[in-house]
Amino acid sequence: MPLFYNLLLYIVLSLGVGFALRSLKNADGSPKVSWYMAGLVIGLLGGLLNVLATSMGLSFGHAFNLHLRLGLLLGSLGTGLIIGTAIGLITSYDMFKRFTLIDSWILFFKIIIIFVVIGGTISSLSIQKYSLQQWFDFFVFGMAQGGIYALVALGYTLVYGILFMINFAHGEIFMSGAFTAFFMANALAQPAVKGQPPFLNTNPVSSLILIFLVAITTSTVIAVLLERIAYRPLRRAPRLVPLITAIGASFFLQYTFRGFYGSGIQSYPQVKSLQGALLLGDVVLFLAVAGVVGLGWLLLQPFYNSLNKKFPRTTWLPPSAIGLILIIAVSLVYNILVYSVEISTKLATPMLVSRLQFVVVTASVLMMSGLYLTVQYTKIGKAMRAVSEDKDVAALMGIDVDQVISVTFGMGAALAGAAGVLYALIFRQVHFFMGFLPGLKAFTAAVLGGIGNVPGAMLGGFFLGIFESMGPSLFLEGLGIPTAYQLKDVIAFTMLVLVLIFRPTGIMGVELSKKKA
Amino acid sequence: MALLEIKEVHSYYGAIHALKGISLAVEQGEIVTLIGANGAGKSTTLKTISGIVRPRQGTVCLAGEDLARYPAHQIVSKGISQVPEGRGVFSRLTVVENLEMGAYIHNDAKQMAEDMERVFAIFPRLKERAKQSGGTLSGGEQQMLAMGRALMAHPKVLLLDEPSMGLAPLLVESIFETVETINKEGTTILLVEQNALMALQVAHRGYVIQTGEIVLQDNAAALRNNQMVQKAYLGMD
Ligand SMILES: Nc1ncnc2c1ncn2[C@@H]1O[C@H](COP(=O)(O)OP(=O)(O)OP(=O)(O)O)[C@@H](O)[C@H]1O
Ligand SMILES: [Mg+2]
Repeated sequence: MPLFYNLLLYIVLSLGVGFALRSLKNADGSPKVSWYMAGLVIGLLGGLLNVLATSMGLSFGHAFNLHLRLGLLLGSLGTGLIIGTAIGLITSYDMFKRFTLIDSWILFFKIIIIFVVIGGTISSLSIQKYSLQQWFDFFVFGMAQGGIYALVALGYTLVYGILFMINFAHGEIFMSGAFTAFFMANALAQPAVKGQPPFLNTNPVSSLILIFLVAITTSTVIAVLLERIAYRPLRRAPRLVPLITAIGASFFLQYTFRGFYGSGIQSYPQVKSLQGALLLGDVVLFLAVAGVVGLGWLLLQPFYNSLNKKFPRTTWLPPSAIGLILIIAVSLVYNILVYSVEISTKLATPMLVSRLQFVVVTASVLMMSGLYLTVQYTKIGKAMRAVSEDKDVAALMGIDVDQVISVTFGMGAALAGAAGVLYALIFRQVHFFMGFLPGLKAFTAAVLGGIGNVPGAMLGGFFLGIFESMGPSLFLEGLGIPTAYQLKDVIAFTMLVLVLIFRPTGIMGVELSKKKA
Repeated sequence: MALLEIKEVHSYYGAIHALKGISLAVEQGEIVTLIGANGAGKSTTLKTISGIVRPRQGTVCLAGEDLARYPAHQIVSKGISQVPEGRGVFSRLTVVENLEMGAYIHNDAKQMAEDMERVFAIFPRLKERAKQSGGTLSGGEQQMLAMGRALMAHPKVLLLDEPSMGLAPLLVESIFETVETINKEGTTILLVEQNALMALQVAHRGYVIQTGEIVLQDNAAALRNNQMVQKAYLGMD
C-alpha cells in the first residue's frame, strides 16, 4: 500500500505543479518558469511530502534504512528529491512542449516507469539484501544470457533485413540444433571403457567443437530447407501469408522434434573444465590484453598503410612493425594491471566470475564479430546488403538473389544453433519446446535494437539479458514485490511494449523508408 | 546478325499487356534510342531484355543466343548491363561498394581495381565521394554511379533507362557526352529517353514506341525531321 500512495503522490504532484507553473505566463505568452525549474520545484516538494508521508507511515518504510528516526526522515527527503526531480524534469518538459490526451497517457506511463526504476533502485540498494559479488553475478549472468539472445536476435534481424518478414520459426531452429547436439554431447559424456573418464572430460575442446558442429549443421540445414520449401514460393505473396506460414512452420518443427526425440526434458551433460570460477582480476587482464590488441590493430591501420606505401618492396616490414608495437603495448598494460590487481586483491575479498558464463560471453561476442565482419567486408556480405535494399537491381548486378537469401537464412541459423548449445550449457536441459521463450525474447531484443539492424540486434540482446537478470532485484525487490525474480519475463516483455510505444524503430533503428513500410 | 535482337516480344504484368509484339535490333557499336510517352513500355522493354520481366512470347537474342533460358542474374554474365530507371543506387552501400557490386560477376581483384580507376577517370566526382554512402549523393552523382557501376561488368550492351531524368540541363549535356564516350570506347548502347531531342542527337538510330508497339523506326536524323516525332516528342508544331 505505501507504494501506491507514494506513486499517487508523485503523479498528483507533478501534474498539479506542472500545470500550475505552465499557466504562469509572461506578457508575450511564453511560460514564466522554464521546464527544468518546474522539475526542480516538483523534486523539492516531492522530498518534503515524502518526509511527511514517512512520518505518517505511508512511504517506502525502508528508504536508506539507517535505523534512526532522523536518518529515516533524511532518507525519505533524499529519495523524494531524486525521484521527484526525475519525474518533474520529464513531465514538465513534456507538458511545456505539447499536450493531448494521448500524451497524457504516455506521460502517465513515464511517471510509473521512472518511479519504478529510480525509486525501486534506491530502495533495493538501501535494503542491502545482496552483496557486491551477488550484483556482479547478476550482471555476468545477464551478459551471458544477453549474448545468447543477441546471437538468436541476429537471425531475426538478418532475415527481416532481406525479406521484411519475421521468421517466427527461428526459435525452433535454435531448438533443433541444441536438441540434436544433445545426443552427441550425451554420447561423449559416456565413458568408453568402464571406469575411465569420458571423452568429454579428457578432451573438452574437441568435444565442444563436435557438439557445436552438430548443432550448427542441423540448424543450418533445417533453416535452408525451411526457406526453400515454405517461404520461397510465397516470396511475392502479401506479407501476412509468410508470417502465418512461419507460425505454422514453428509448430511443425516443434512437433516433428517431439516425434523424433520424445517429449521429455533431457539434461545436458556438464563439461567439467567449464565449471568453477575465475578471478575477476584475471578476466580483467584477459579483456585488457584483448582490448589492447584489437584497439591497437584498428588504430595502427593508417600507420600500416603508410608503411606499405613508403616501403612497397619490403613486405615483411609493416606487419612486423605493427606486431612489435602491439607486443610492447600488451606487455606494458599487462604488467601495470597485474601489479594493480595484485594490490587490490590483497586489500579486498577477490570477486569471482563464473567460468562457464565467461566462456559463453566470449564465444558469443566472437561469433557476432565474425558475422558483423562478414556482412560488412566480404563479397557475400555486401551482396546481402545489396539484396536487402533492392532485389531487382541486385539481380541486374548478376547477384543470384535466391542464393543470397539461402545464405542469409543459413548464417542466422548457424548462429542460432551455436546459441542453442550455449543455452544448453548454461541451463543444462533441452526439450522440444525450449525454443519458444528464448525465441520470443530474442525477437524482443531484435525489436529493441531496431529490427533489420545488425549492431542493434547485438546491443538489444545484451541490453535485454542484463535488464532481465538485474531488473527484478534492482527495480522490483525494493518496492516490496514478493518473488520478484519470477517477474523477469514480465520485465522483458514490458520493455518490448515500452519500446513499441516510445521508440517503435528501436534503439539503433532509423525510420524505415516508405518502400519497406 | 545484330548484336542484340528482340523479335515479336509480348510481356505482361499480370493481366496488363505491356508489350504487344515489339521487335528491334541493335548492331555492334551503335547507339540506338527508344523514345515514347509515359507508360508506352520503354522500361518494360529494357526489363524484358535484362530478364527482370520474362516475355510470354517472342525471343530476345544476344549475338544469336536466345536469353530466355537464363535467369536475370546470368544474363549479366552474358554481357548485358542495365542502368535502371531512377538509378537504383544502393543507398546504404558506399560508392566503392556500389561499384564492387557492379563487378559481382568477375572474381579478379586486380582487374576490378583497374576497372574502378577507369570509372573514376570517366567520373572524377565519384572518386571524391568514394567512401560516402550512395544515398547521400546528389541525383547527378547517383546517375554517374549507376552508369559507372554498370560499366564495371564489362557489358557488350549497355541499357540506359532515362539517364537524364531529374538532372539540370548542364548535367544532362555532360551525361550524354559521357554516353558517347563510352560508346566510342566500344560499348553498344540502347538508350531509353523522354528527352527525345538529346537522345536523337547522340543516337545513330531510333525507335518510337507507343502503348506497347513500335510505330516508327529510322536513323536519328530522319526521325528528327519526322513531323509526327516533332509534334509529339520534340514539342514543335
Ligand atoms: N510493376 C508493374 N505492375 C503493373 N503494371 C506495370 C508495372 N510496371 C509497368 N506497368 C505498366 O506497364 C506499362 C508500361 O510501363 P513502362 O514502365 O514500361 O513505361 P515507360 O515507357 O517506361 O514509362 P515512363 O516514361 O513513365 O517510365 C504502363 O502502362 C505501366 O502502367
Ligand atoms: Mg520508364
